[in-house]
Amino acid sequence: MSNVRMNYPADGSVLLESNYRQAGERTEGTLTRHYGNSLAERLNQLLQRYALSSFQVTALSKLMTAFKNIEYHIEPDKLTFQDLFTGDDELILFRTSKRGATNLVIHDDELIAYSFIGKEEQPVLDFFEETKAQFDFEAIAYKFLAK
Amino acid sequence: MIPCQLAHIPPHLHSNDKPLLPEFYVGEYVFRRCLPTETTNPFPTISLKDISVNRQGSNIQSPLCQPEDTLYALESVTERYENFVVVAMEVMEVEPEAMTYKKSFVSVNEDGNSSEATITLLHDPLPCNYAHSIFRLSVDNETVTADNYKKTLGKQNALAGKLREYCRHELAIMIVQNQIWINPPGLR
Repeated sequence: MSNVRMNYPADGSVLLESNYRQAGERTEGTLTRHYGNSLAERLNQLLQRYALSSFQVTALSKLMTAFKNIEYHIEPDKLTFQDLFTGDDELILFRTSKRGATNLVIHDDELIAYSFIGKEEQPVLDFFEETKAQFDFEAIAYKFLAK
Repeated sequence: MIPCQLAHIPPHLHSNDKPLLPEFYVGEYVFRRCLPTETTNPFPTISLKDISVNRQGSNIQSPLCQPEDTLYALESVTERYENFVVVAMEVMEVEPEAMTYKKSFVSVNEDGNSSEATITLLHDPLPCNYAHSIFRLSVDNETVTADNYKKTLGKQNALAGKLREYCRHELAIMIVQNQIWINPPGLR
């Protein structure tokens, strides 16, 4: 089963839910295994594609590790997300679900913002800063994937 | 104001000498052109330099524009924007003095330094779009423009970074939930 490949978009930057489902139909239950592989691949793609700051590289690496650690506890669909690098050098990871839109903004300098905009739930905006406490990337990862 | 020179713009959108309408009304709709994906999550792609909408006006029987008027192109080689959709947002509340949506966000750092961003909905007629309005952003009372963006709201420090997120989050809520609140109820 481990030699079954996921299909990735040509530009390598975005694993869309539709691609994931398509691949899922072919792989018949091997998705978790390949999701583990895809996270490492995804990290490499992001590192190659964007001029990330050292803080962003560290944060992204730790987030991907956290995703990998918790992937067995969440629905596989939740690990699909898109990314964007803004003109203000922010890396935004984002996903949508039936409940709403979740965005995680990794600033270039020790600030991470979490935004959730629900269709029927109360919106949430939280900030994580290194000055207040050490970043708990597993908590941030859970939060990003929770809704 | 100079007359509209674009032949494809219908007369009801021409500003000519029509007055500026500073007041917005509870129940009035504003319309924004969006890509279909932005209706569910506008947060990542929303530009804080140019947040344009079209306003309906107070007279529902004779609105300043129709929702689809936001698809007319004013500066493009094409006459209409293709592949876009129109999002309607209802003004649910206005600030009593300004009689429009006006909301401020304060960012404070560990040293006690603070900075304040304010979003204000303003009528901003253009020669070929009388209904044109903007969400104007200001930081510490300085209006954010394309020219001064870097020094007002752009990448500088965590204070400015937080203000960008407050503004982006607020504007994204309006688009996703189709309502413009100053003091939103606990659950919308």
